[in-house]
Amino acid sequence: MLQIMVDIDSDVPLFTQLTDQIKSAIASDALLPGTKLPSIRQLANDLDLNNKTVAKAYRLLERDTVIQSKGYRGTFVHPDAKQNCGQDINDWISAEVQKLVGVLREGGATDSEIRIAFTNAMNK
Amino acid sequence: MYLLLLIQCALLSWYLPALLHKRMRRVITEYPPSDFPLLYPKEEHEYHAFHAKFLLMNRVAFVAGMVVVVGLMLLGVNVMQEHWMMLPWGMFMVQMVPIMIVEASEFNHLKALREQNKSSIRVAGMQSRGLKELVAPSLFIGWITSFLGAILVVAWTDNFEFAFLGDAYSTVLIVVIMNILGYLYLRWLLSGKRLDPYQDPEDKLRYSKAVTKSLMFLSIAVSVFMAVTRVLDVTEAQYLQPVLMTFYCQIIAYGSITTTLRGVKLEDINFDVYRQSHKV
Repeated sequence: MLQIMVDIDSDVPLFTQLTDQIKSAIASDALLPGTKLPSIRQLANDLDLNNKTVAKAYRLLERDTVIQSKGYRGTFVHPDAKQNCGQDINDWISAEVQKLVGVLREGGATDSEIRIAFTNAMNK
Repeated sequence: MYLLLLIQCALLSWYLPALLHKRMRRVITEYPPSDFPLLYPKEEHEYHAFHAKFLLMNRVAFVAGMVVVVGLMLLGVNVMQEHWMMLPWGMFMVQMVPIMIVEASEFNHLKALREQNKSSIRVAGMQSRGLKELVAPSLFIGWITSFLGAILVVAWTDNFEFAFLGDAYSTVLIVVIMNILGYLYLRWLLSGKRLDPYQDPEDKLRYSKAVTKSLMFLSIAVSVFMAVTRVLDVTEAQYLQPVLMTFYCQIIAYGSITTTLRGVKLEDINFDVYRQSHKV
């Protein structure tokens, strides 16, 4: 049985430890597509963590299309999980922001103006 | 009937406690505190004393049970009457006291393990522990069938009228409540708070399967028992109630204890997690 391990004293956030290990298990075929995962409550209680921590990890994995929730039937490894494991949404965010900043600078915007515009957009 | 009561004494106060006692002694002998200190938060002598007390309590219950049954036999009391149905049940309650004490002490033991555990590392298995994953479909179907069947049989005995707070109504209520309580306890056990902080996830899964099977078996027994009791009532065979009751007590005790013991064999348990040097 695949086992997952977290260190509560680590500097790495707990939900990140969970998502990294699940992605790593899928990438190495230790977890196959279609495999049913433990419920949030079961995993949180087994690891003695808050439900919200595990829920956040599952939410991020679902966002990255690594797992899929099927309501009362449970949560399963996504059929395309293996190819999605390698992708990091943060890399995509950085790449898009770099592109946009480049375009804005070429258009003559200063860094301060760009920063203010980002802040206003985030506050909306 | 006296023979059945004597068998109940022997089974519940001698044989089954002997199985439990043997297992407890095997654990402390083969996995002693010197090599597996994390398993024993208390002093070693306390465990030996507890084992001895458990054996003594059962022997006392056995002798007391035998005295009662032989006494009734010598007095020529006819126990094949409806109001004697509580005799096997009363004996059962007394016979279960030592086992309930063991269960309670187990919870205290697990609490002591949790308080002792200072490790920052937490481990869990990535296998879902739902009912579908833990029991065979046939057992699950048997549980549902016995539950619905019991309700139907009881309803039939009342010509499907169900007078409010009548006998049939009360019987169905008991069947429903017992099954719901069983289901809720099972849910808590399967996905509730982790009781043993060191337990290997594989052992947790094995234990969950054994307990689920045992609880399902108990639920089926309750449903069948309540239905048969009701049938005996309406067919004026109440004199068989004591026989039914002693059978029921023996079956549930034997079934639940041996199912759990067989499902979680000592040879399959990973005791290395209780070594001081164990690193995850």
